[in-house]
Amino acid sequence: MLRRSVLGLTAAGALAAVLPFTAPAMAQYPDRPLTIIVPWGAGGGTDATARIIGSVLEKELGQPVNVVNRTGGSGVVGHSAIAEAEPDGYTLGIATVEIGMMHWQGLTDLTWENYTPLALMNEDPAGVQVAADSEYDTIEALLDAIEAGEPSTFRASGTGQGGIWHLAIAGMLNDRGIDPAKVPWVPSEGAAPGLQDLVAGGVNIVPCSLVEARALIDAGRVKSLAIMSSSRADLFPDVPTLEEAVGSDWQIGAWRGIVGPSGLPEDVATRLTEALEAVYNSEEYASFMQGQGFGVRWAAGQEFADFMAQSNTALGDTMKAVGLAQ
Amino acid sequence: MNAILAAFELVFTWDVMLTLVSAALFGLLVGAVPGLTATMATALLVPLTFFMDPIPAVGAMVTCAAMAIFAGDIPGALLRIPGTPASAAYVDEAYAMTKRGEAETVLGACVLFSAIGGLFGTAVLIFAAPALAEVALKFSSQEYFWMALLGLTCAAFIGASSPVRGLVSLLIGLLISTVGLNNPAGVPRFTFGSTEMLAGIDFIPAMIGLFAVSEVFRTIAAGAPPWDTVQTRVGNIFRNWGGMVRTYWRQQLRGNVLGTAIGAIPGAGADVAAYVSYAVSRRFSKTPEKFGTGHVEGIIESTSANNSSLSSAWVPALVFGIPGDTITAIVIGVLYVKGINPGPTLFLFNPQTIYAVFLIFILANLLMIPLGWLVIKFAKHLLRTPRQVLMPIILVFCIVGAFASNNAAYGIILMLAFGVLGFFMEENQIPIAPCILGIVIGPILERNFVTTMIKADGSFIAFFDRPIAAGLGLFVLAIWLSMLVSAIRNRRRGDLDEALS
Amino acid sequence: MFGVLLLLFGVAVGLYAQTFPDIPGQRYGAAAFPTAIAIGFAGCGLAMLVRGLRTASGPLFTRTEWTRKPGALTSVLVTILCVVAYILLARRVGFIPMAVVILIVLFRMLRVPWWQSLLLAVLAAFACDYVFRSILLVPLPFGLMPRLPW
Repeated sequence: MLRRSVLGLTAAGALAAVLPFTAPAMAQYPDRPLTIIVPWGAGGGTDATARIIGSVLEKELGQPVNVVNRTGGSGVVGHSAIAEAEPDGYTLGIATVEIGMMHWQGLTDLTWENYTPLALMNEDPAGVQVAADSEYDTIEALLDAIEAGEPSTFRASGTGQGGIWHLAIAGMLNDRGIDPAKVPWVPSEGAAPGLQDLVAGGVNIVPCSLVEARALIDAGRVKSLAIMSSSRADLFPDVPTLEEAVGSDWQIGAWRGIVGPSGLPEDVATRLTEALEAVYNSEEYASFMQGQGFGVRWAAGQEFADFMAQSNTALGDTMKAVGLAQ
Repeated sequence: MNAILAAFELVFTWDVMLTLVSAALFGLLVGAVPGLTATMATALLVPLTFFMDPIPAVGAMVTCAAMAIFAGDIPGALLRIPGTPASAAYVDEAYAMTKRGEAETVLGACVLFSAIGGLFGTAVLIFAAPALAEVALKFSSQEYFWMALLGLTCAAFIGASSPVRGLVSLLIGLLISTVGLNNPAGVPRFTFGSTEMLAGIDFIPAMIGLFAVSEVFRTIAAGAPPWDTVQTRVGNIFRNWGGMVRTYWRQQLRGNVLGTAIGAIPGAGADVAAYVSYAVSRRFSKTPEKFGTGHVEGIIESTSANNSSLSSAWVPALVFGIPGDTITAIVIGVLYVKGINPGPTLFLFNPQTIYAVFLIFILANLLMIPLGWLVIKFAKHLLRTPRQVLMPIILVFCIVGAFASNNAAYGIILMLAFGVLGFFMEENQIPIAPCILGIVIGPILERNFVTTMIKADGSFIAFFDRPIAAGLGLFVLAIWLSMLVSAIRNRRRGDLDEALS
Repeated sequence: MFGVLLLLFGVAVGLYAQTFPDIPGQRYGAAAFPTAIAIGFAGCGLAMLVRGLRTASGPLFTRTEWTRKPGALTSVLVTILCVVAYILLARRVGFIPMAVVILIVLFRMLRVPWWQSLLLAVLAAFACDYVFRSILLVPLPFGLMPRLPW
């Protein structure tokens, strides 16, 4: 260890002697490692997305990019950590759709306005999944059965109480003029346990994204009836959009984007947006997202800000309509 | 047959072997450091796998995770600081053996039975994956509820020297698990307005505090006296193996089976497997009074269980893409990126790949023996270091480990608070292990209770109206009844006080 | 005595849990589980109380032999203060300086000779920094320290 330290110190000395003459651009951003804060745990989709963005961004910026998980509190903790970071461009974060939901539930005061929007990188629309042996083959038949049936005939799961997929189905029912309370929500620790319970027969509907249901759809255990998006998914082109199937324009999805704390210097934000655009267009990012089955969507700067504002209002309206907002 | 040969060709190349060995060393390092978990080790490997071929990529993650789970035993045995939660169940026992001077024996047992357990789990994975996955998929919230309750019942066995104190410890753990937002209703509980507390109490800093920091306090308070006993040099850790396998083959087999069964059910991982096996071992032991005093029997059973559960967690993952734990969740993502889509088709269309993955499982568990031996040889020198030097350094390690769990000072605050709590608990003879179990199982129990009640509109019959749930439920009730009966019998004999104290 | 404490604690937790909101339309919500735990605490408290009354009542907290030794509790307090200092100052001062200071304080308290304390503290701090920051990518705070070249 000592030898290592001595070597390191010598190297540092040598470097310090040479650097002033060779690198006049030392002060130029970025001159030290960056950190990307992930509000969700290692192993999840957001974590994976952040890590691939981080590893490509590293090459773009020529500085190491550390991906750091700050988990818990349904994303509140991590989102707060991003907002509270020094606005110097060295701490960024990956914001998720929950930023437009938490404050309506009264969990935090944070909204999308507490961040400098850099780039929207991904969006996965919600789908409507039922077990493969379910008697309903179309979304229309399912919705009719929900409307005609007694309350609590159907139960849905796939995320926590008031989570994004809970809103997806509640909003869909609301949009069709059905009382969302007719389909009670069974909270779960994410889509995977929800889907498992769907196959085990514990619940009837899981309105998660198609990516999350992919393995079980491929295995022939689960079928997807519709996707709550404006266009069909590349992954499952046979699944109709809600609009095609029943003429509803209800759309919702989980999105992820890179943001900084509010008040990021303009030149830093520009540099980062450029680098992120290069990441978005890179071969690695495209093939990774395609491999995972994640949808990609790009928006930068003001466009991303408008997107978040719109997402925020839509989510708020739905949550008020179904009684999840405080 | 051709597929198997093709698999051999895929695996036995220089770069795959090199990757496996480096991943193994990395896993050993991470696992041996308290606060860094096997999950974290695997997540750190993700960016590296982007630049690897599919087989070395999967191989690196599998090997790394297996090593990390074993390596968690090392600081547990030497310093009473479990490296990973999966080692917490038997850390007291292992440390007691170290104090008796048998550090090499206990670590030798850990490495051997970890490897055998892993191989057993792999065998089950190879031969019974599809069938086992079918059963695992039948588990709904009712079944999980009973499983969790069964796990909690085990806590009574763990603290069996004093059921009431064990129960108090368990309740403390359960109460801790309710802190935060992570509950079925999604409302903040016991957070007292703090944003950090919304995240709840992460059990990694809690575990570091309860076990390690409290131990540091105790040693420092006593002025860091030198170790009581000199380590008896077993010299060759392999020598005792024959004897241990002969004496404890039943325990080992039971640990393997139990670990495999628990691991195959998505959501219950290596930590739960270790606790349940330890309790089972104690319950059926011919010499239960030796448990807790440094007896290798329970260690063998539970270290077998945690490694076999790691292998069998792959059953639902490979067959249905349902992650059995957080580690498999990460690897499933990588599998997709590498074009190896989990699912029944994997066994049909890509047999050479799946065989290659199986081969890697076998290799990883075999590698554990020589590498584990090296690490043990190196690690036992820790015990030669004077304690007044060792303890402060451990404290700094604890601080960093607690910080690393969530990259925030909050982790260190938790660690300190739990260090003090652990100190007081031990001073009042309240065992610590049940508390950790409570923190782990509490959320599972509550979530599955509430979701079952939502599904059944509050009717308790729901807990018995599915065949597997009814079976598990009756089993749990039978255990409780037998405990009650033996308690009453003791009371008749008039030694209730002894049973309670 | 410990039983009384547990009993009171159980009651407090139980009462506090009743303030948690319900899941709309469900019978068992956020309060159910904490209430059950509270009942458990109260039950254990009672059991210990009954036993305590039957036998001679013990002291509130049992204290083992060494806690009565002079200086024992002081050393524990110093250790706790070290960790508190780290929590408060690490972000500003940095990991390596804080670790060195804490190690020296504790080494000295345990009567490690001065020169050994200094050497070991510096070595251990740098080793720890290298392992965690460079190999395991834990973002330890830099603080005042200049960025190390590795």
